[in-house]
Amino acid sequence: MIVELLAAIIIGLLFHGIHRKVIARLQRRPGPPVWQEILHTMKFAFKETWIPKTASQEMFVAVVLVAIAIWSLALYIGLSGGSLLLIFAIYLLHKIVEHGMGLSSGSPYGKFGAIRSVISASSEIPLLATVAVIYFFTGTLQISEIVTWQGVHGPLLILAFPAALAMYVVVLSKMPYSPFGIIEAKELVSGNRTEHFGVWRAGLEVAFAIKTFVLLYIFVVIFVGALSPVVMLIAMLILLLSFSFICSFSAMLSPYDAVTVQVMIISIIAVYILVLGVAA
Amino acid sequence: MKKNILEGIMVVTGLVCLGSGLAELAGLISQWIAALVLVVAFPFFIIALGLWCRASQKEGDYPFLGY
Repeated sequence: MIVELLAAIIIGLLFHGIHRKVIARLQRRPGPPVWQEILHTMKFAFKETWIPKTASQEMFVAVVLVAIAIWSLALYIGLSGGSLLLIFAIYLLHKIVEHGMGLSSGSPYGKFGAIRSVISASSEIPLLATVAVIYFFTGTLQISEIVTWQGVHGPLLILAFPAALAMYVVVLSKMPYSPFGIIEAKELVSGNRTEHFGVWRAGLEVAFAIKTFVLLYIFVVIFVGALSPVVMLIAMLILLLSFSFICSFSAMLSPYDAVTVQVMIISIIAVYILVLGVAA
Repeated sequence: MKKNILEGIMVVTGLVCLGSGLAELAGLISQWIAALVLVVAFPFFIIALGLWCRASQKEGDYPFLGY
């Protein structure tokens, strides 16, 4: 597990670097090298570190530890074919981390980011809808059993395309530079992460690298099925490139628009679930 | 926090992370227990490692308090 965890961190950081590079190239900028995020994390780890005087000290440090812990657990659940509901629970815990990160800092920018993280809770509802649709088709929420089901019936990406679309938006909303990334919009400096610098930021970068790896992996596994490790990485990279493409051409939405778009997606999925229910 | 305390946390949590993996490979503990031990110890290891790199063994200067 420790080997997988270290690999996920390095691959996740490389994915972040590739994401930045692709966005830059699509915008006709040279962009940073793809290993920039690895250097970035190391740079933060060696910077001077302290806790702001106005911060809630215990909470300020605890959110970093919790962020690394929950995504490490999500990685294990994903790789061992555990329950999709547990992944959903971890995703909700991450929302608490985002909120706590901003509120603990004592900075107004961080607090605005934390409040926006509550607004962007609408992005969790498409995930719930996705889980419901997957259960409707497969009759299980165990990732290993979903993979087996796809081996017999075909990939859910085709059979339950609207659910895949909803999950795609969920993952997109968690990508860096996402049009839904309202919690770290530039008008809030770095949003809820503004005051976390030095080792705290390095820890957060590690947690977010694992998060990106887990979300891409889970998407491919539950909508495409079991793949060999190399093909899996290629599939995750293709998925990431599609996110980079959207992020490069979409401006960050205002909080109101971000919620509106996500509610529209939820509505489409709700109609889809109703149609499935009636058809069944 | 003093460098030697951070060093202690880093070494202990690092050994716990490695030990859980080895114990799982040897079949001494189940996969889930190994994962839970790692999930708890790994964040402390990462943070202690970062803080240890920057920590100084000598007393710092008095901060500049302004004119």
